[in-house]
Amino acid sequence: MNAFLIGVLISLAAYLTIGYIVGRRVKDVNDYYVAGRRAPVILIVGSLVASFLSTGAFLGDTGEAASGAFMVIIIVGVMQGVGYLYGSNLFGRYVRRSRALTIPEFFGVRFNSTRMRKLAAVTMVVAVTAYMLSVTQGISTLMSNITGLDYKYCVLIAWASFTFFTIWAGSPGVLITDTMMFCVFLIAAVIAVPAVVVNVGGWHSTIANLATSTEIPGIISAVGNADYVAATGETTLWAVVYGVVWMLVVMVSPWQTSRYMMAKDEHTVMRSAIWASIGVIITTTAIYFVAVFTASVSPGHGSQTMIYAAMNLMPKLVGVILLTGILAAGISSGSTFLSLCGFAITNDIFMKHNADEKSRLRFSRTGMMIVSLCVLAMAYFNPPAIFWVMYFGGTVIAGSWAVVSFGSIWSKNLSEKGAFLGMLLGFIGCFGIRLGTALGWFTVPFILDSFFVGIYLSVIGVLIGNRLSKPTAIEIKERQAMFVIPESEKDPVKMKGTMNLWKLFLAFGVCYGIFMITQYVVPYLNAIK
Amino acid sequence: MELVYVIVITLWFLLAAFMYRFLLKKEYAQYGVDYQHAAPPAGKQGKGGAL
Repeated sequence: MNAFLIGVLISLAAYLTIGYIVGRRVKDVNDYYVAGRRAPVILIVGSLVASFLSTGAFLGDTGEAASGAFMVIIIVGVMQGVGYLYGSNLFGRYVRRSRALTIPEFFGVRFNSTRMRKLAAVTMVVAVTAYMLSVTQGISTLMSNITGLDYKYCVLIAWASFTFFTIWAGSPGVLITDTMMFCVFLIAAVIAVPAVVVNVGGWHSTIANLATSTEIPGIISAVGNADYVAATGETTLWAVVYGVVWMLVVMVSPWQTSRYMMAKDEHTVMRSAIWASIGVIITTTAIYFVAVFTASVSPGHGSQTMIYAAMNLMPKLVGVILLTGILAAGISSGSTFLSLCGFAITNDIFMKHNADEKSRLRFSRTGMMIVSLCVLAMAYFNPPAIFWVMYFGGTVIAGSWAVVSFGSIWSKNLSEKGAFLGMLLGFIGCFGIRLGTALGWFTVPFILDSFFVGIYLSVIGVLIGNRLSKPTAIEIKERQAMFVIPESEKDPVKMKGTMNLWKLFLAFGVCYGIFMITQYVVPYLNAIK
Repeated sequence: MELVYVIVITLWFLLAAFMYRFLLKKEYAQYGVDYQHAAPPAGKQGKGGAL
């Protein structure tokens, strides 16, 4: 048994044990769904980042960076990272204020509509299941590489690694294990950089080698490798569009905003947003550099670049920590997605409100098991496509939820019919285009990318719905209730502390810019002179 | 080109920081609380702080 496998097994055992211990403390549905709404900043940050960064980022994105799209992926990473600051201010704090148990319930109450609630739940389950598939395939690829076991056996292990403790422990277990896993992969990402730099010949000389690389020309240039990415203008446009898509995912997706529901107050929401943004940007930037540094000495590994780096270019201990970190990123996202599916099925699709607490818990757990078995079957019978399956889930949510989510807070004119049609048409458009292009039925020009079609149709749906009916008195009252400020939020010391965090983010942004100029731009430009 | 990209990325950070401040200020304006001059509770201040 090799050291990598031992490290992975120890970490799996730790997550299962902690999940089991936490699960024993779950008393009721409120505990199971939203962890009693008393989570502090550290747990919310841990869960935000851990549920957002998965094997898609650690294996898929790094594969893109190593194949020649380094700056494209950096742009997407930075754009999505700052989404937390906008999302918490414009949507997250109001989700917390609504006291809903799930995001579909939030929409249902806001628009006084059962069909709206069910539609939100169904679209969420579809997107989240796709994302879960990507995560399961990512963990399986990782395990298969480490152990040499057949990929299909690894799918079973991957599925089991997040299914059992999530079903047992619900949100409290997910929050605690997410935070542990966030710490593991943050440390892994940060220590992997110097570890790989030492082995590839130093930072500045490697940047110079990459700048003049003949194997992957333009790998770290602003526009990327022309053979891999599209033409210059389109590359940047693609980066900006997908930066916006992922920023919207961070701002409105259920796997992000549902974390705010568990925060102990709105100050926790706002503070978590700043720290989560910093955490995501540090982690992603670090792994993208590791990926291109690895490609400088051994190109062509695609989405297995990080696995190759961990097993060949680092001291064994650092490699074990990195592989454990990648595994943690996958499991943490899988556990969040699975819990969201189970909650939505029980609370929003079948609406088991009249059942007693024990029956609802049992129903939630059964729902989760069914969803996870579906994901297991899909992962087992389909070849891995980590990057594109992940983009499918993210795009569907961004395209169909964004307009309605912001409208539910900031539009006086958005009626139930408008919201329903907006989400439905956005989902159909986005899903249809994505599915058609993924299966090769047709190709579309960039302007008709699934995200754009989803947004166009969502806006059209909102406009048609609003023409057909105006907001009712109950809808108006529910919207006004969102703007009633809880007395507990009016603590001047907490307000000052929350406000002052903007300075921290400003300083972080300046430091990031200085780092990129001195460690990337200057050595790059010197090399190509 | 690379320098331009990095400068734009840095400006993106700065914009986000200022937007956070702007949006939060707008929100807190509705609270009717003077938070800007708030001092931490005595127990949380350093030894030289107010009693």
